[in-house]
Amino acid sequence: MMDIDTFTRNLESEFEEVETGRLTPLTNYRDIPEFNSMYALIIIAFIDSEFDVLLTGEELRKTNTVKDLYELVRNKLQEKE
Amino acid sequence: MPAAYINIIDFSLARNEITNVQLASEYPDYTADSIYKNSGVLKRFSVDKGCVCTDFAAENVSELLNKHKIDKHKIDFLIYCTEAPDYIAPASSVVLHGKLGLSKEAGTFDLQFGCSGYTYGLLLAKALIESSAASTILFVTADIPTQVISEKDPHLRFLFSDAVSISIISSEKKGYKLGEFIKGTDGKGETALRVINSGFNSPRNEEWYHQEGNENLSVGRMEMDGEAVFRFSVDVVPKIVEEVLNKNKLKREDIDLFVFHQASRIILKSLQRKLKIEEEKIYNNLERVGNTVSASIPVALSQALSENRITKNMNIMVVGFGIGFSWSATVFNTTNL
Repeated sequence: MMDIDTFTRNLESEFEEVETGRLTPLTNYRDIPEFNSMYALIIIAFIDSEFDVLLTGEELRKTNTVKDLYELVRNKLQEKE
Repeated sequence: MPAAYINIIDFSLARNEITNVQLASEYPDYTADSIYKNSGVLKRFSVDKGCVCTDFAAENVSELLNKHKIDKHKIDFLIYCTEAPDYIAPASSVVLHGKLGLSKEAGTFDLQFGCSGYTYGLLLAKALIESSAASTILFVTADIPTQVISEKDPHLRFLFSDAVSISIISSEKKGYKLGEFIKGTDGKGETALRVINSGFNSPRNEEWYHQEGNENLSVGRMEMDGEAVFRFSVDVVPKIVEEVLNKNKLKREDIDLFVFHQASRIILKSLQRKLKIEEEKIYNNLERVGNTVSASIPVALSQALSENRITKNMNIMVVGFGIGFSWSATVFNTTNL
């Protein structure tokens, strides 16, 4: 799996309205002013197409920071192995 | 057994064009730009309030039949796909038959399907042609989703659009040859996308009309769980693609163009990425038209043809998927285009 900084940059590039460098692993992505239900879908879509892991809304709701997301995906990938 | 061909595909969009600037003036929380970023749609089209769908269909289908010089007396079957029936009974296809003045020898039936309706209708048309039960089929899709969307649901208003399409299917070796079909259903998806208070399950009453957001609705209200629809789409469509390829004994590289139901920008983008389809091999007109439900695939095919994205000797995969959940798909060959 890619490292957390690459994960953060790649996720950031999915958010059209977020300028480069604004997201860090410790950013609470829900605090992004533009955050709405579409962003939640963008995150699910990004993780599905990058890692073939299809998160549920409930799983997503338990995360706050980019690092939480990264760790959720890493655990899901480990479960798959 | 005669093979089935779609000889003609054409469409009409509803008369009223609605831009993002117009919508932004109604919703102060959004700008025209943010509406585009949220929906991927620049403009959508709507019928007038109170429109009866068979009127919308009949007016446009008549014009399209005239445009293509189709003798309506030759039509011996009408398939009418809509989620906006005129009545619970009689069937809307019968009403449309009368409005179009088709032959009394023509059979008709309704197909109450949404996003998978076009490919389902083709599946049925192919069976009617191959069994010689019909020789010239008029397949009409007409949907008016704007009429069941509340003003309180901007995300739905941004996405959906009203349109009519016609397809003529016969054994004449002209146009798109229909390949083998696959189909499927997951009825557990009933609540992910539906029009509530539109039938016996939840009849409308006085209280309903007075609930916030229902005041301007006359029939029912569309509800969509965007996350559930997204998860269904990205989970099922890649499997459908493989299944259709296998059934038609084709490989991925044999497909020259993928025409998926134009569900939403995020679904189309995710499918393209997940299936690793090159941009030029996937058709996308969502920006210009919106999601026209059962008309989305024929509108896309018709526009792709006029833009020379469809030419002779191609294999085109068409995949309908959505409300239900329901899906169906096939491959067209254009050797006789």
